[in-house]
Amino acid sequence: MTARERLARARTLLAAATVGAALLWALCAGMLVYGSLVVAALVGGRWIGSAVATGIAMAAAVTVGAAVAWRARRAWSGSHVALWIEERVPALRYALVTSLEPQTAGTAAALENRIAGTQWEPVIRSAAIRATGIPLAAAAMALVLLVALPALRRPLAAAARAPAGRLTSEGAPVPPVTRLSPLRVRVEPPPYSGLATQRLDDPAGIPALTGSRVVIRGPGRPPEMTATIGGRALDVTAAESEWEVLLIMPGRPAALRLATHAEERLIVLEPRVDSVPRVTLVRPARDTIYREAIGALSLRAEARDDFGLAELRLEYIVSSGQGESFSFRSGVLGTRSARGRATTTLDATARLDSLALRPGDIVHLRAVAHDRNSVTGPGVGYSETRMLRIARPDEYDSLSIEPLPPLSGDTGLLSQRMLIQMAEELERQRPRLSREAVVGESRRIAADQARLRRQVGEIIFMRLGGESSGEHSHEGESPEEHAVHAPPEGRLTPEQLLAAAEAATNRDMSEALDFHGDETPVVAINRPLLEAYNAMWDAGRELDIGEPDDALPHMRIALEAIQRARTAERIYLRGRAPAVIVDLARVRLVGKRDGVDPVSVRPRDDTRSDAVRRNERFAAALERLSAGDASAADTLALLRLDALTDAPALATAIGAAIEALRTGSDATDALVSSRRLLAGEVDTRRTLPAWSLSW
Amino acid sequence: MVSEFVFATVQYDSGDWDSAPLVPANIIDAVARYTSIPVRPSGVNVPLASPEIFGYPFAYLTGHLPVRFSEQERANLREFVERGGFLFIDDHNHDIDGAFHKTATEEIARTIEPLRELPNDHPLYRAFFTFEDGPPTTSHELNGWGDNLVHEHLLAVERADRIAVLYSNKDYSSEWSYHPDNKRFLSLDNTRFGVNIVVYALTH
Repeated sequence: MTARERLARARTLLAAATVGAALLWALCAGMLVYGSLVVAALVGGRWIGSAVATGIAMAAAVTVGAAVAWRARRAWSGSHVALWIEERVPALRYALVTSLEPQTAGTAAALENRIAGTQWEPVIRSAAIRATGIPLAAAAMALVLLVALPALRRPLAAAARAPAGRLTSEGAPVPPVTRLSPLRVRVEPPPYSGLATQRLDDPAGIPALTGSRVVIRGPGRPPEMTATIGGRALDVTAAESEWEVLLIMPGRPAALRLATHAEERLIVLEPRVDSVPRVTLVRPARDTIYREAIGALSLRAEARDDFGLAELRLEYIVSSGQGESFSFRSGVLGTRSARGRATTTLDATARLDSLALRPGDIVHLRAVAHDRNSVTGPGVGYSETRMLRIARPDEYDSLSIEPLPPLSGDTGLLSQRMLIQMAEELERQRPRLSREAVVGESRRIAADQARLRRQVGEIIFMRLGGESSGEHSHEGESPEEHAVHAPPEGRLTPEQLLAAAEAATNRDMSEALDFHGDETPVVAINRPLLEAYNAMWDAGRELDIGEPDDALPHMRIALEAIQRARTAERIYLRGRAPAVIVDLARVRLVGKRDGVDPVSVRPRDDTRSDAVRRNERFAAALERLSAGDASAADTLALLRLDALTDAPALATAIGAAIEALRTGSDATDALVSSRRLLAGEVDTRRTLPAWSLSW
Repeated sequence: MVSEFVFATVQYDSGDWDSAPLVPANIIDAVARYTSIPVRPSGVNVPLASPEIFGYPFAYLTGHLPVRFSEQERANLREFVERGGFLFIDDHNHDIDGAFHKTATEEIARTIEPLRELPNDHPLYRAFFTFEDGPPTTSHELNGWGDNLVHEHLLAVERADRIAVLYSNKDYSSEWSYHPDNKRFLSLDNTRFGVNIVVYALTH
């Protein structure tokens, strides 16, 4: 390799190092400038916008890069590079510079020999490394500084996509300054909570313990500025060069509405409720009965609270007496001061004989804890109550349970209509059945028909003073066989009943054994049922001999008679219909006071579920959002207010969406999360019942 | 001009039109209890043959006995339906073979058009309360009275996507004919479906 070739290679390497150094210094300068702009925005409260900031950073980068490149511009010149090498490698004795000039052949060979004997490459390499290493380290440090520090990570990320406006300490660029933005909020929790004062920059919602003192400040002067919570106006005062609103955090979520003549803003007040203490009575663990009121009773109670307990004590009530005469006395078995601790335990021992208990007395034991809430409290928590009873000498000490035998059979009588259907079905199948099968099935229907007939007989005679018809169950007996059973005196035999039935239906008046002369009450009242009874006898006879087709006409007559009887029973013996005037005021629970007319009832609350209503409101907000309506954020804020009490996850998701909308960033993820939470869990149901799996 | 809902019971010459005298008061009570509809505290009885029937958008007709309308009654019923009225007919017998059912359905078919089954997802069953399974059963059905059937559907004549005549075999007249003061003894108010009928009639 000749001297010229080695020089050209060295120049290329130095030029590349120069370019790399310029780029690295440019990158370093760009990052530092962008970061400085963000820091300046955090300090000064003004943000110039990501596009402008990027432009400034780029300009700075180009300037620095160009400056570095210009400063090292001689790296592209061969003579300058040769001089730069001669300066750092004296052993060349200017042979390299001389070799670049026109030479004679002999001189050139001598110069080549001198140059060839000298190594300058290590000098070139170290210079290149030095030229690029320093800016590389600087750029890396700047990158680490900007990205790795938590305080700068979010502002940078937010600023990278934010329009012009302001940048909060949370890193959220906000719209340009108005009288309602940015807001500075100071939350001073109640002293008993021991919580520190909190500062919030331009929040969409203010989470704070109920009773906290909340101070909100904003730019500008208070005139023409209003602040309301649920229609209640708050005082807006001047504080230095700003307006100021002071409020106490309410017990329930509410919306603070700030308004000027030109704009309006909603701030969601998110109260954190101080829970009442949770108290557990560990000992005694269950209710019990003592035979005698002697001995010691070990007691133990535990309590815990979110902001500290004030006191835990064990209380008792002794109730004495019985019937409607009781007396009570109460007292405290032990007290422990918790002095603000979150948990405490109380152990005590009670001597039963010191309570002067008598047989039958009941001791009610419970633990009571108070917290230190001096704003809305104190919160009082109670444990379960245990009851300790002192047994009476005369009371049973055991319980005897005698099993009840099953009730006598519920025969589940078939109706006449179903018997007809069964007989019709038998008649249809008759050509395919043997004679024995037809007779057997027909007699089974006859037995059911006989049961139904007896039921009708019971109804007929029970209505005449509670007497039974005297027809008892004798399955399979013929009327003749049945007749040999002599009924008790005063009751009718089946034959007498049949005779009465036939008399009632004018079939055989001469056989109406018991009812000579005028029509008897039995006939007069029960004519349709007697007719049914009669027809059932005929049907039963035909069925007994296996002739269902001959039985069917009688069965239908019986059904028709039953229908007539029932129709007759249902006809009202009526005069004028009673005039019932509904007391509307009483029904609508609006009442009437001192002659004042009832007020009109208000429309009932929406009976749709909260989920459905929230879904509709959410959908409406999305529609407004897609239409570019700025009120969508307020709709979401009110929806979040509604969800704070019973759907905290939904409230959080909506809060994230509101925050994203306010910062101008992408709210899609938060809105999708909100919609999923609104939709609830997927309800899956088995399409087949469990038993079908075995099929 | 009537500005409040008035429960009108239809009088017809044949049959026992007033067989369920406490149903009007009970439905008025239910409408007042569950809705904010202005309602007159007592119902009225309106002859079907009278033009007064046109003053009431809702009319209730029931009975046990055979129904035979006169020509004037038929003409008025036809006009009542065409004018947008809602007639609720309930068979007090709860019996598909009963005299009332046969004659009343024949009269409706002759006067207006044949009744058809009303699907159980009809808006009637969501007009106020929601009845997922269609018409609520009555104790008379479940206890085996009448035809021993639990009727799955109500019948109806529809005009322009609204019910003009609603016909029930379920014997709501027996189910609802008790003094409204006794409603407090029920664990579940069985007149809620009556509210649906009234609300549907007034909103369709």
